[in-house]
Amino acid sequence: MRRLRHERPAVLALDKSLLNQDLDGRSQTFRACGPAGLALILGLSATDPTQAQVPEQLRFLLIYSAHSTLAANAETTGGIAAAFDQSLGADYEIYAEYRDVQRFPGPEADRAFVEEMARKYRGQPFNAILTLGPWALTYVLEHRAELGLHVPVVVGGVSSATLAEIELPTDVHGVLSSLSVPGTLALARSLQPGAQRAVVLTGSGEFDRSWKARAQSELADASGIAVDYVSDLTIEGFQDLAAGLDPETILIILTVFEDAAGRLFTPVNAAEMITERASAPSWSVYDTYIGRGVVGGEVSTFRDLGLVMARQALRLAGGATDVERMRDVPSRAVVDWRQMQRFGLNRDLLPPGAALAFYAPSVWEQYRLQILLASTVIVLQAGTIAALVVQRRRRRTAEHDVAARRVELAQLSRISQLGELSGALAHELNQPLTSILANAEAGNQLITRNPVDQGEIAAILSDIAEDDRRAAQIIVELRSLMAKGDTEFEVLDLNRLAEAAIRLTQSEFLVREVSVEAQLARRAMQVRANRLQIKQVLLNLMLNATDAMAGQPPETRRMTISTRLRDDGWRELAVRDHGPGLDARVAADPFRAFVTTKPTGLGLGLSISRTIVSAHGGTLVFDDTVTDGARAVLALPPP
Amino acid sequence: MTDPPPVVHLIDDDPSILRALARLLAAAGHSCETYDSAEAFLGRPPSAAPGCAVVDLELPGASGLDIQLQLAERDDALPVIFLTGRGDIETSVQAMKGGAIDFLTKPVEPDALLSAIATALERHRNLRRIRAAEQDVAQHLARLTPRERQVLDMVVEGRLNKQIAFELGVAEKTIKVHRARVMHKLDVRTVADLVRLVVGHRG
Repeated sequence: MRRLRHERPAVLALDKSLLNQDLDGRSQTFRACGPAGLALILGLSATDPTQAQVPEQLRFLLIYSAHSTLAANAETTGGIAAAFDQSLGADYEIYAEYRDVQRFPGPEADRAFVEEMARKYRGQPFNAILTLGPWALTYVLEHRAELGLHVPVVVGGVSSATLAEIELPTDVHGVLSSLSVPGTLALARSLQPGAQRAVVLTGSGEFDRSWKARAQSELADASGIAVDYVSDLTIEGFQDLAAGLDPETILIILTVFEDAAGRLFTPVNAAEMITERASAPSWSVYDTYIGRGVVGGEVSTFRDLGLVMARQALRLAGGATDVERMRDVPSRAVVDWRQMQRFGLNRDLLPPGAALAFYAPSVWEQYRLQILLASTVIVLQAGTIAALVVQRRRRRTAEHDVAARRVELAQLSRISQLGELSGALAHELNQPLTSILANAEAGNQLITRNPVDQGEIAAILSDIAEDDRRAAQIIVELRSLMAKGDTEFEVLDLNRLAEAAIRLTQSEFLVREVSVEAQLARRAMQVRANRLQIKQVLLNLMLNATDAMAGQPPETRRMTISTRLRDDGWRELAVRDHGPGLDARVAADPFRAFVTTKPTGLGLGLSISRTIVSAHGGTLVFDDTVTDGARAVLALPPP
Repeated sequence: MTDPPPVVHLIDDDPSILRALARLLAAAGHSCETYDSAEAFLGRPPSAAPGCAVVDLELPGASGLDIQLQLAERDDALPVIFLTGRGDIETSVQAMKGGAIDFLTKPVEPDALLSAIATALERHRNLRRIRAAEQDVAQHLARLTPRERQVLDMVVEGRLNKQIAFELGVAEKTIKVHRARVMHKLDVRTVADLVRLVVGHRG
C-alpha cells in the first residue's frame, strides 16, 4: 500500500491548546497518560458537540488500473492532491492502490488484489473513492459492497464509449477527458495563419477508424480550410506523405494503432515516427504526443483530470446532491516550443492561455537576473575603480604635502625611540659589566689564597672574556642600528635643515620658555648629508641646550642657532646657549658615551651625534672659547 | 641557641651574573644559593637559616618588587638588596620604602655589595633574635592564669598591692601570692625586670 499521509497542523495546534488548558480532570488524566491519552481525547472530541469546530478529516481511496510510476497515474495523483490541498489545506488522507494489469494480467492477480483490498479496507471509513482507468471502475462496481464502502465514486480515465456501455449506479460519477479535434485545428490555424489545407491522419485499426469518423463529423463545418482525411497507409506511407507536405499545411495525427500492413503500434510511437519526417507542423489531440514530435494541440492533461475528479469527490463527500453525473476535463492549447522553433512558428500568434512546453528561454530571458546583476557589479566596480583612481590622485597630492611633516614625525619618534633604546642598551651593557666586575674581584680574592685554585681562576678569566665579547656585540648592534636605513645621502641646504629643526621644536621651546634666535647665512649652505641623521644631531644639540638652561629664569633662556661659511669652504652650524656651560665632570670629553649630567639621561646623545657627524666626514666640537654658556659647533665639508 | 650559618640568596635571570656573584660571595666567605627567577626563589623549601636576598629588579615574570612584597608577608622576613641595570628614582623609592637594605646599580662595586650584605645579615640576625625573645615572652605569658594576667597588667601600670586588692575585691595577701607566681612563671626577680619584659613585648 502506498499511503500518502499528510500532516495535520490544525489538529495538532488544538492538541497543544488542550495541553495548555487546565480545564478539568480529563485533561489532567490525559496529561498524565501521554500519547494514549491523546488518542482518547481526540476520540472523545469527535463525538463531543462542544468540540464541533474540529475539522473532520476526509479520507479518500484512490484505485488505479496501472502501476504507480506510470506518468499518467503520477500526473493524475498530482492533480488530485493539488485540488485537495487547495480545499482542505493539509487536513485529509489519501490511500492509493495500484492494480498493475499491464504487467500482471489475469484472474489470479485480480483475485489476489481483491482479497488484499478486502483485508485492508473492510469497514474502514472513506468519504469517496476515485478510480482511474477501466479495470478500477469494474472493480469498484463489483466489489465495493464487500468493503462495506457505500460512498460516492468518481471515475476517470475511461472513454465516454466505455461509460456509455455500463449502467452506472447513481452514486458513481464520471469525468471525461475531452479530445477536441476542432480545438486542435483552431490552435493550428492560429499558429499557421497561412494554411489552406489540413490533413488528418488515422491508422487502420478499429479505434483508428472510429477516430476518423469522429473527426469527420466534428470538422464537418470547418470553414476557410480544406480538410483531407488520410488513412489506410503503411507507416512508411504516412512518413512519405508527411515528408512531402507543403510546409504551410496543417498535419493532424490522431491514432495509428495499426497500419495498412497490419503492423501494430503504440499510437504515440507511430506519431513520433511520422513527425520525424514531416515537412509541415503536426498536431494532435493527445497530451502525450506533445514532446514526441507534434507541435501541439488542444488537449486535456492528466493533471487537469485529477483536479476535476478531486473536485467532484469533494462535492460528493460534502453531501452535495446536484453533482453532475458526467463532467468534461477542460482542455487547453499546449505547444512544444522546440517544434515551434523547428517550423519557424511565431510565438506572438499563440492564443492567450496557451501553455508553452519545453520552453528553452534565450540567454537573456533565462539569465536576465544574473546578467543584470553582473552588469550592475561591473558598473559598480567601474565606478569604484574610477573613484579609487580619483582618490589615489588626491591622496598623492595630499601625500606630497604631508611627506615633509611625516618625515619630521618619524624623526621625533626616532629620537624618543633612541631614548628608550639607550635605557635598554645600558641595561644590556650593565649585565656583562656586572659579571666582569664581580668575577675580577672574586679572582683577586682567590689568588691571595694558598693554594690557588687554578681551575677556578681559569673559569673566572674565561667568563670575563666571554662577558667582554658580549658587551662588544651589544655595541656592534648599536652601530648597525644607527646605520640602518640611513645610508641615503643627498645635497641639502644646512639653513633649511636648521629652519626645519626649529619649526619642529617650536612648541617644545614654547613650553620650556626658551627663546630661539636664528642667525642663518644668506647664501645656501649646501652639504652632502643624510637628512634624517643630521636633523637628529641638530635636535639633539638644541634639546641639550634647552636642558642646560632649564634651571635658570625664563628670561635668560636664550638660544642662538647660526650658520656660516668658513674660509676653508666648510659649512658650520652652531648651537649656542646661555646656560651654566659644560659641567666639569663632562668637560674633559663631553662626547663620551654614558657620560651625562642629566638625572634622567644616559649620556648617549652627544656620543651618537658625534658618530653621525664623523660618518659625514664632519666634526662636532664644543667651542672652548665661550665662557657664557656653551656653544656646540657642527662643521661639514662642501658637497 | 646558635643559628645555622647565614645564606645569601642570589636571584638573577642572567646565568653569567649568578655565577660571577656567587664566586665573589664565596670568596668573601658567604655561602649562597642561586635562583634564575622570582618563582624559583619563592618556591624554595623553607629554611631555618638566617640570610638575605640579592635580587635583580628586572626579572622576567614576577619582578624583584614582587619578591619583596611576598617576603614581607612571611614571618621570617629576609632582608632584600636590589640590583638594577637602570635605576630610576621611582622604583628605588618604592624598593626602599618596602624595607630594602640597599638599591645598587649594575655594574655593582664588589665592596658596596659585600657591605650591603653584611648589613642585611646583621639586621636579619637582630630581627630573628627579637622575634625569638618575643616568642619566649609570649610563651611565658601564655602560662599565666587570667587572674594572674590581670594582676600583672596592674603591677606594670604601677599600682600598689593594696590598690589592686581593693579594685579586684580580694585580700592583699592574695595579690601577693599572685604576684609571686607571676614573677616565678615569667622568670624575673624584680618588678623592673617584669616591666621591661612586658613593655618590650608590647613593642
